[in-house]
Amino acid sequence: MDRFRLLLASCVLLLTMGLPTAAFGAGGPAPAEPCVPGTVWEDTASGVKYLCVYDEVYGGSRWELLSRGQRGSDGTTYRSSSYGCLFQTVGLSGLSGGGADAVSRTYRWPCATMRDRIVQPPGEIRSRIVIQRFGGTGWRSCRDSGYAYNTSTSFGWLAGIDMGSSADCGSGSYRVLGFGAFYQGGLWRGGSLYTPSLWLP
Amino acid sequence: MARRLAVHAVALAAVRAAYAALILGLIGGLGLATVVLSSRGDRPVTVAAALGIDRPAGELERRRSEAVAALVTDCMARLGLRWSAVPEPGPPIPDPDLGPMDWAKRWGFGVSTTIGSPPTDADVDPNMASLEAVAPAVRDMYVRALHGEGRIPGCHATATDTVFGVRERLLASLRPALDALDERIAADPAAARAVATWRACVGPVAGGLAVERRSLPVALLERFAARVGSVGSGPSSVAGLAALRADERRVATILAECELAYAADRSAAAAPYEATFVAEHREALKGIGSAIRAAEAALPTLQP
Repeated sequence: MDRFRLLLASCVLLLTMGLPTAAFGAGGPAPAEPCVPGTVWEDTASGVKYLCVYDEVYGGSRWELLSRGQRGSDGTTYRSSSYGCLFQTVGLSGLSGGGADAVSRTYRWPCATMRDRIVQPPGEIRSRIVIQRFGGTGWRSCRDSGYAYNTSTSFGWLAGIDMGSSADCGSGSYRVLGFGAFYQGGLWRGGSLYTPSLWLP
Repeated sequence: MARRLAVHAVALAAVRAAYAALILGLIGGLGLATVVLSSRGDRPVTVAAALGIDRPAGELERRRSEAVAALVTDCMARLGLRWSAVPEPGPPIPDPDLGPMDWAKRWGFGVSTTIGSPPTDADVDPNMASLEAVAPAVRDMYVRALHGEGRIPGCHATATDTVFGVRERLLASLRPALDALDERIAADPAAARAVATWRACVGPVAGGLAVERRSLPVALLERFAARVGSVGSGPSSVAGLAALRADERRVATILAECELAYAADRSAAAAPYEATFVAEHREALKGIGSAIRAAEAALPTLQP
C-alpha cells in the first residue's frame, strides 16, 4: 500500500480545471508562470521540462519535473470532427538513462487551442510508455508502465518510468513507444508516438 | 446489476493459483531462481548479458497483458463484481521488429511517413460497452472498484503494479551502482571523443540546429512535424508529401548511422569499466536477473 501512496504522490494526477496556482520546484529552473494542469513548460536553454499537475497529496496544482534532456516527439495522434482529438507527447532522456514519460490530452473539435480541452470521466483516458532495448536480433522490452487510467475527471493523463541516471537493462540502443487513447462514442480512440533510437549508458 | 456485464469463461481458481505462483516468484525469486550464467569460461562482461532479462518484446507484452486481465478479473470478483478478462492492446508501431537503421530507412522519424496510416484496430472494449448499458450508480461503483478513489488504488492499478512493477522493484537496488559506473565511463577521454565524432557525423543534417545529443533529434523531429503542417491538402500536396518523406528518411537514416557509430565508440570506451563492474557485481546481477525471470515466468495466464 505504501508503494501506491508513493505512486500516487509522485506519479502524475492531471485534473481538469484551472486550479489554484502553486509553483513547486523539483530541481533545476522552475517555471515562473501560472501552473494550469496539463501545461508543459520548457526552459529552452537547459532543455528542462515541467508539467503542471494536480496533486492530491500536495493539495493543489504544482509543477512536476519531467525527465531531463528529453529526446522525444509530440503530435495529434487521433483527430476526428465527431469525437475530438488526442494530443500526445513522448520523451526519452537524452543524456542518461533517466526515464521516459508519455502524456495524453483530449480536445474537442476543432482541437486548436487550450480552450478546446475536454474532460473525460475517470477510467476514460489511458496512457502508457514502453522502453525497448535493441538486442541485436530484435527489440526487447526493458521497462513498461502498463496502462495508467485517469482516476479522476481529467483532460490529460501521464504515464512515466524512472530509471535513475543509467538505463535499467544495461547500455545499448533504446527507443520509447508512447501510446494513449480516450473513450468516446463507444470505442477507444487513440494512437502512438515513438522516439528515434538512442544509445543510453 | 452486475449480471448485465458479460463474463468470459475464465477459471478464477486457476487464476488464483497462478497469482499465488507469481507471489512466490516475487518473494522467493532471488533465492530460488535458476542460475543461467555460470560457466567460468563464458562469463558475461556486460550488464545486459549478466542480467539476462532480454525477452522478445511481443512475447513479454502478451504475457503481461494476459496477467493484468486475469488479476483485474480476480480482484473485481473478490468485490462481487463481474468483469470480462480482456487483455489490453499492445504498443502499436509499424514494423516493430526492424532494427534502428532499417526502421529509419523505412519510416524516418515516423512523422510524415505515418500520415494516412490506418487507425489501430484495438478500439472495441466489451467491458466499457457493458458499463454504458447499466445505471449510472452501478457504473460509478464499477469505476471506483476499477480505478480507485482518492488515494486508494483500484483493481486495475493494483494489477498493473503487480505485473509491470516487477522490474522496477527488483532493479532498484542496482541503480546507485550503475549510476557510479556511468560517471566513471563518462570521465574517460575516449567517451568525450565519441561525442566529438558523433557531432561531426550529424553536422551535415543539423541544418543550423545546435549539434547536441540532448536536443538535436527532437529539434529535427519538430522541424519535420512543422513541414508536415505546411504541406497542405490540395492535389499538389501529394508530390510535396512524397518529397518530405524522402527527406525525412534521409535525415533519419544519417542520424541512425551516426548513432550506431557513437554506440560502437562509446561501448569500446565503456568495455573495460563494464567488465570490471560485472565482475564485482556478478552475483547480484545474476540474482536480480534470475528473480525477474522467475517472477515473469509465474505471471498468471488466461484459460484458453
